[in-house]
This record gives sequence, structure tokens and C-alpha cells, in this order.
Amino acid sequence: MNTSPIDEPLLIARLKAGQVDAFRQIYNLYSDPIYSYALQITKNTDTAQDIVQEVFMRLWENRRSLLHTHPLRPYLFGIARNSLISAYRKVVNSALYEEYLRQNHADTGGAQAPGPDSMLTLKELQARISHIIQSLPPSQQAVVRLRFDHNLTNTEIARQLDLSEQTVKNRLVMAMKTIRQHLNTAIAIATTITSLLQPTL
Amino acid sequence: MKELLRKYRSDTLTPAELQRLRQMLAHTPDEALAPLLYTDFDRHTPAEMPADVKARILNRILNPAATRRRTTLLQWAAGIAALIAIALTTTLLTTTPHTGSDTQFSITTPPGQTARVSLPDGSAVHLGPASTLTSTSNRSIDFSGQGYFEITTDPGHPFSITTAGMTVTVTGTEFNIDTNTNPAQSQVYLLKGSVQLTCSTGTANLQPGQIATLTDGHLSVAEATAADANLLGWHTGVLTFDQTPLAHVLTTLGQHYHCNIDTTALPRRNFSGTIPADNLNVALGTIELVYGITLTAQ
Repeated sequence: MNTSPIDEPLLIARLKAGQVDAFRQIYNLYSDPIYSYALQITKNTDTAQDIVQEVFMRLWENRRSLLHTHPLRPYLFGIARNSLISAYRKVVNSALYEEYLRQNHADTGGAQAPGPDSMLTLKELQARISHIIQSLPPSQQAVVRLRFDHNLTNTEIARQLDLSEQTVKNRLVMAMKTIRQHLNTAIAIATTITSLLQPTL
Repeated sequence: MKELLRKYRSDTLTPAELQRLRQMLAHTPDEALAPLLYTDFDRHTPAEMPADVKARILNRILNPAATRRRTTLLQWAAGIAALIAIALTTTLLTTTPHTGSDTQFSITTPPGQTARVSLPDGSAVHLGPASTLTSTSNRSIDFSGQGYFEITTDPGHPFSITTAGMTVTVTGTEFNIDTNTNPAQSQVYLLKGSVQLTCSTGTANLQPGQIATLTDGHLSVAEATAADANLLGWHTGVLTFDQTPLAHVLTTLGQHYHCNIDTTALPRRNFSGTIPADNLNVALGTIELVYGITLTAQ
């Protein structure tokens, strides 16, 4: 991103003076890199866009108190820090992400990184799962929803639904079996279509 | 840990590695996590934001008021639907250019929505909800509703605004006109400069900080009090109260949002503070929270 030498202290000084074009310049420099990083951490385009907006909104609001001797990068990170950390923790611990990795892993046989073409996004996976959930028996639906939408543990689900933990586990296993079957079919079709299209591209 | 983060970012963790990462994260405080995340922060650009999103965010930051206008109606409608049944007449924001002249146009805002209008002479109007502005020439308009006017100075050409029962003549100034809050009254609240008011029964010159009220053809001028600041609530986005009885606060809110609020069963308490003037849901939520009461929609 650093194609031409940029006089950052001067840019900050102009931003402090409220010059909108200096702000635009900083925005154009940093918004895509921050966005793409936030996307890798949050795995969600909306959240990543929110983070970019928050970073630059705070930069603009606090422009007068900036120090032009201090580099922008750590300052911008400081604004995004808490959102990034909490998103990181949330995604790592989510049942949905676990299922997502499992799908990717099975897809590539665990050998190498999945190609971007054959890869489902987390959002697509979520959409597909919630579509499949609708076809499940109601008793399984409730358990799976609490697991994926609310990210509850088996113990928590058992308490909430007043069931035994073993019942929750059984229903979850059955539901996941159905979900994975449906998913694999869908992914197989998607992959076939992609490979059929490939030669003509 | 660093390696797991790298794999996490590219979604290449194996299920077993994910379990390991979960355990490690559970024992890593935010302070230790931050430097790891910072290392790769903004270093490369594999993904670009869609151009429209990029422009929208920039615009939202640089013109917060302009964007608020777009979202207000939605938030407002959601809040209303949840809390209070209200008859909402929907007039679409209409701009009707008359043929033959560049300076003639008409703009109407629907209830709950405001708009910023730039006039050909450089003057600006923040148009309140359910208000209509019709430009009749370069320096004159017909107006009804609520409007916050910032009129450019042009000594040779005074600006004139014709509103219910009176004409406001100005040279260069900022003021608020309100014919909405009380349909029987027209109010002009002057903040800067000076204006001259003309109605069938006489004329008056306003000084900054004064409010002129026209009721039944009778024009009176009074100094604005602290409570009058809320006349500008729709423009500033907040309603301010200082040791005001709760019933009075809710009556003001009702007036502001054009709905009826039953205040008979309220605790006898005073309220000091600010309440958002652009989101009834949040406004009532604030009061519910502060007093531990429940306001029900009917």
C-alpha cells in the first residue's frame, strides 16, 4: 500500500486543521488494508465495515487532539483493538466456525488450503444451515438453533430446554448428520458446476 | 499462537488446531492478545471494500446530519410500531420543479423525516418533519411547518418568507420557524441577526434570543427561556430538561413526536438531562430505565 512516500506528519497536521482532503487521503490509504484485516478476523463483511467506520469516525472526531509526531498506524489499531479482540474470541469459540472449518477440511482432505473458488463463506454456510434447519423435526430444531445461533454449550441447552444432557447430545448428533448430508450434497453440486465452468473461462 | 492466528486468518485451521486455539485463547488476556493482532494489522490488501460502501462510510462521517435524515424514518417507524399505535400519513419527499424557471420548486417532508435544502442564493434550510417549502423567487419562499433557516447576507435584496398569517423579512440571519407544534400558533425563534415580522395587525422587529408568537392574528414577542431550547430539538437532535416534572417531559415528547402520551399514572418526579429527539424508542427507553417504570403502547 505504500507506493509513494507520504509525509505522514504533514498529513496529520492538515487533518488537525480540519482539512477534509487530508482526511480523505488517510481514508483512501488505510481503509482497504484495515477492512481486509478486519474481515480476516471477524469473518463477516458487515462487522468489518462497522470496524472501518468506527476507526475513521473516531479519527475524524478526535482530529484536534492528534499528535502529528505519532504515527497513525498504532493509533488506528488502538481504536479497532477491542472490536477485533472480541470478534476473534467470538468466532473461534462459535459452533458455526467449527462446522465451517470441518467442511473446508473435509473438502480438501486436509491437504492444502482450500481454493477461494470452491470455498463457502461463513455467511453462506450460516444461510445454508439455517435453511436446512427448517426441514428438521421441531425437537431437533430447538437444540440446533441454541447451538448455532446462540452458541450455547450442551449443558446450557439441556438446562434451557429442561432436557437431559444425553438427550441434547443425541438430538444434536442426529441433526448434524442430516445437516452435513445436505451440506455435502450442496457443496458437491457447487464444486461440479465450478469445474464444469472452468474450461470455458 | 502466532501460527494458529495466521491459520485462523486464512481459515486453514484443522479441527484439532481450532480446539487448541480455543484453549489457548481462554488463558490469554486481551493485553497479551493485542500485540499479536497488531503485528499484521493493515499490512496487506487481499480484500477491498465495495466502492459504494467505501463512499457511504466516508459520507456518513463527513456529513453526519445528512445521513441521519435517511435513517431517521426507519428507526422512528420501528420505534413507533413497537410502542405506540399512531396514524402515520405518508407523504413522499417530493420535489416538483415548475417548468420555465430554475428558482421555483417545492419540497415536502413526511412526518418523522427532516431534510436539508440549499437555496439558489446560498441560503440553507433544515426542514423539519411534515413541512413544506415552496420557492417563489430567488429570495422569497412560502413556508409551513418547522424550519431552521440560515439566510445569506445580501443587503440590497432582503429575503422574505411567507408563512401562516405573517411575512418574515430578513437580511442575513439564523432563526427557527414553527407552525407545526401548535396548529393555532406560528412561532419565530431568532438566534442570530435580525428579522422583521409583518402580519395583518402590525409589525415587529426581533432581537436575537427572542421568540415571536402569532395567535389568532395577535403578535407577541417574548425573551426565550431555557425550556424554549427544545423548540429546536428537531434541529439539534436532543431535547434538554432541567428539573422538569416527568409528566411535563412526556408531554413535550408527545408534542415533539406527534403522538399522545397518557401521563396520569406517572410518579411525581423531576427529570434533568437530555433525551434524543430523533428516536422515540430510545427516548422512552431512557425514561423507563431511569424511573424503573413501563410505558405501554396502545
